[in-house]
Amino acid sequence: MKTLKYLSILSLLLLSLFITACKEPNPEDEWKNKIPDYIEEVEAYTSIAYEYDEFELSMIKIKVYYTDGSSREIPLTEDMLSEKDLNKLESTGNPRIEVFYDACDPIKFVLKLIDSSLLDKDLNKNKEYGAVIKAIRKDNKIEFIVEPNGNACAFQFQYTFNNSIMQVKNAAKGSLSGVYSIELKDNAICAMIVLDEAITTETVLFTVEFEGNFRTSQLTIDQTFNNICYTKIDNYQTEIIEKVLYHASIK
Amino acid sequence: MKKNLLILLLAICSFVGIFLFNSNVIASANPLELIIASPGEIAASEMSFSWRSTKSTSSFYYSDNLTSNVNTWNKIDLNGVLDNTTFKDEAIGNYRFELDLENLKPGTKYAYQITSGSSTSSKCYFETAYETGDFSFLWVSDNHAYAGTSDRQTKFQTLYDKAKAQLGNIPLVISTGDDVAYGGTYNCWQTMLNGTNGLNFFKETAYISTPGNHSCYEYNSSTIPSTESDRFFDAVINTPDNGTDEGSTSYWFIYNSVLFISLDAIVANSKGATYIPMQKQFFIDTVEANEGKYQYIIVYQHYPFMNALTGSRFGPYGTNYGKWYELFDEYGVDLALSGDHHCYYRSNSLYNDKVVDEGGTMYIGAPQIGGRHREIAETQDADYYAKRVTSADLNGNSGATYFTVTNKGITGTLIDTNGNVHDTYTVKAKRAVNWDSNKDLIASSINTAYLEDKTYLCFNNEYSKYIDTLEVYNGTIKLFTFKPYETKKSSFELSNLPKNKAYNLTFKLTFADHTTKEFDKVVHTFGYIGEIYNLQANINSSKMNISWNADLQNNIVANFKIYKNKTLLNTVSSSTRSYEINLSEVDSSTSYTLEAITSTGEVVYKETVVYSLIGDASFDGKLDKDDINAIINGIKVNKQYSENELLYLDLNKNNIVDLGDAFTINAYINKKISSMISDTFLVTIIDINGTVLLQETVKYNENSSFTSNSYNFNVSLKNIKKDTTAVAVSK
Repeated sequence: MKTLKYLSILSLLLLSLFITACKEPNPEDEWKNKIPDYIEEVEAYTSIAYEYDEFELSMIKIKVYYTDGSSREIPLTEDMLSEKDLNKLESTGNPRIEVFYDACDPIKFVLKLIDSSLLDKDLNKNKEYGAVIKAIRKDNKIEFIVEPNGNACAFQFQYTFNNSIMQVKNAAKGSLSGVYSIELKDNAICAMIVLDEAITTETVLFTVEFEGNFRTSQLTIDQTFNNICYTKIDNYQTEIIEKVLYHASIK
Repeated sequence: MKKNLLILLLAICSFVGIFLFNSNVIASANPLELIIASPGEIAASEMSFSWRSTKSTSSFYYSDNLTSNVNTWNKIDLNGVLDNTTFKDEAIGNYRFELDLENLKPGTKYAYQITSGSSTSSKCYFETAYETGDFSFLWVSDNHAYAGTSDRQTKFQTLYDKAKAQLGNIPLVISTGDDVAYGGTYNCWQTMLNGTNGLNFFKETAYISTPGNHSCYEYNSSTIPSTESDRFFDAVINTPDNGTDEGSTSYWFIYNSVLFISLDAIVANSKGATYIPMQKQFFIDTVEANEGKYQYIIVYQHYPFMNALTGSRFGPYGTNYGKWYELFDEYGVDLALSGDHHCYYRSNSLYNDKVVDEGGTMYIGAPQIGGRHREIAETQDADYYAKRVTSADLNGNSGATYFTVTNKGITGTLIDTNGNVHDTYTVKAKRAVNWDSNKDLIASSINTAYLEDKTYLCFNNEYSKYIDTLEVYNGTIKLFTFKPYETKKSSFELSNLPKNKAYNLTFKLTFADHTTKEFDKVVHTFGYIGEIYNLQANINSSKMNISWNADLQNNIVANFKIYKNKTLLNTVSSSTRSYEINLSEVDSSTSYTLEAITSTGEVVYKETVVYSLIGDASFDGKLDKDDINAIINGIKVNKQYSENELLYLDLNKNNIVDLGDAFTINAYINKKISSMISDTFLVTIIDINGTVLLQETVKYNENSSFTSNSYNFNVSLKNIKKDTTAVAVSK
């Protein structure tokens, strides 16, 4: 009887120790007891340009310094900003926001919110190019589009990309009739296209599916390739278009 | 009584004395004077004349037969315009005559003579320009002819003679103004052109000038009229009436390969800054309207472009560089000549207001002739000036520049009255010769024709002026040398060629700009063999079929020989019209030659073709998407095409086979076009003398018949694939 009692007490002691040992300490608890002294902007986060429609407030972090000399970075939360400043983050621009944290003096800094898709527009605003070829992401595809200034009828060009970041497959020609040769290489997309008829409006020549990260794929025109676009002149003869812009979207 | 008579006599003598004294001021108009010949707008065929007479009518005689009797010359009767208001010292009043001759023969020396009343001028001469080729001219300025001195005229004539000693002939003299001391003083013009002190060279050359301030001065004054300031100048010199800057005497003319543009600097200066835009527009319109007709542009005016005295290029009155250099850069002016400062300068080649090695505009200011010289005072923009010659260094304080123009450049030489050379330079040509593209056409127009047992070489006689020499070789032996340029002929008998022989002759053309072209041609003396045409090579199943058409005449052709590249394949009868080879024995670069042979083995016809199906890049005898893909695949592997392949695949003529060619071929496959060759060709029918009977443009591969009732011929040409000249020979 006595032995059973001692065993029960021992078990309870062991169990309590176990329970105590299994419970992970809450890191926040460590900081909860500290007293914030002041906060600072972290330029590593504020110097980056963020796509406005992909931006989350938590992407921005500030540094908190405590009275005991310690410090840490914490993400912004909505309660740190006024409603007015929160509204500024809904559109592109360089909003200046004021951040409040605990009893610290507030700090102000500027964010960069951009819309990279605007870089794909008005590429030939001044009509200095005879044609624009642009590679634009659309969902999981890349559209290769021609924007003629005048007319365009045949194309040969090659884009390269970083195949450790993005891979391509399944090229599909656009709606225009003609002869297409779309070659998907390890790190390049090579197109040679002869249309049945010249075009004068912006048109998708072909699409290519991709996997991976388009944004960081470094998709760009291959300057070492003989990139040429042709325009139709009288009687279906052709001339080389002298000035062509080859563009790749970054978003 | 005696006393009264004596007094009367004294009075009469005094009156006469006063009259004689004043005769230095009031000139007498001579019966026939101030005769000047000046180049017309197109100096190869136009010449303008001006003279004055006390009679209201005049006759102008001219001829290119220099030794013939003047009674046989062309004659033009004219009525003069009474002018007794322009010159204050012309008390009698005389008649101004102006004549513009057109349709003259290029490169031809003419004699002319003028009569008016009982007066007859000396026999004078002028030469029309050539339409191309080398020529020389003399540039002078600031002669300031003045009745009070003969020194200026003497020195002017001396400079002309010194230049002529170097050049041999001076068909053109250009002045940058101030021909006379006082434009409104008639006897200044008389001094320049008439009498023992007048300039003799006016009788043998064409002279043209531009208004200078002195030639616009009122009678015995230094005042330029505010309106009609050029009226004195215009009353003596007949310049082309093509200046569009109104109220001025700006003009242009083309002489050989040079577009000369004269700017009226006097009117521009008097009318102020608002006038310059109109004058610039005249310049622009002139250059653009004449594009392709010149190799060089020379602009000249009286007031200086740069300052000869201070060596500065920008500045106040007298320096026009700042107003014009940008426009001259844009349009590639070669030389900008001026006068007025009586001191010589020559700039470096300038472009974008910077010194360049070549390719810019050279600005040159002329010295004067005879006294009133000025000296270099300072140099402000040293880098911009290549040469400056102070007038004291010129013998006679006088200078002139003669130019030699070739297709390579313009060489200028400044001389003084001793003939000493003070400056020499060459401005390299910026542009190709203005008719460069015609050389193939000219060469291809050379034909043989047979008439009355004789064999002739003949070509379009409009081309004779472009061909300096036509040499004909049989191997290395020169058989004939013809001189179309010199003789003005375009038909030459191949005399002494044995009958019934055939030759593969080499023709060497030396053009008027000294470039050359060689080509081979079969020439025979058998007479008319008939027509052989439409030679083709086409794939038919697994064979290459070489075919041709022939309408043979006179039983001269006995056989045909067919070659693959240069290898003889077979000899077939004269009735054969095709031959086949296995496709495996040829490739896309193979050429095929057909020869027509006489019974003695002479070659009387030879033609070579390549594969005839244009656009068949896959070389399978048909046109379809395979050909587009073949071109695409060729691009991928950077395929190098042979010259023969380019002939039927390079449709956009850029010496490669590319997607542009593929587009055209694709359009043909899709029936959007009926022919991939959009070129048109010039068909010219000439007679045996080279006279053009008919000229038409036809499409590629068309058959064309040409009929002319006026010339009574009917010529049928088939499958035209190049510019073609055919000779219509009367039977």
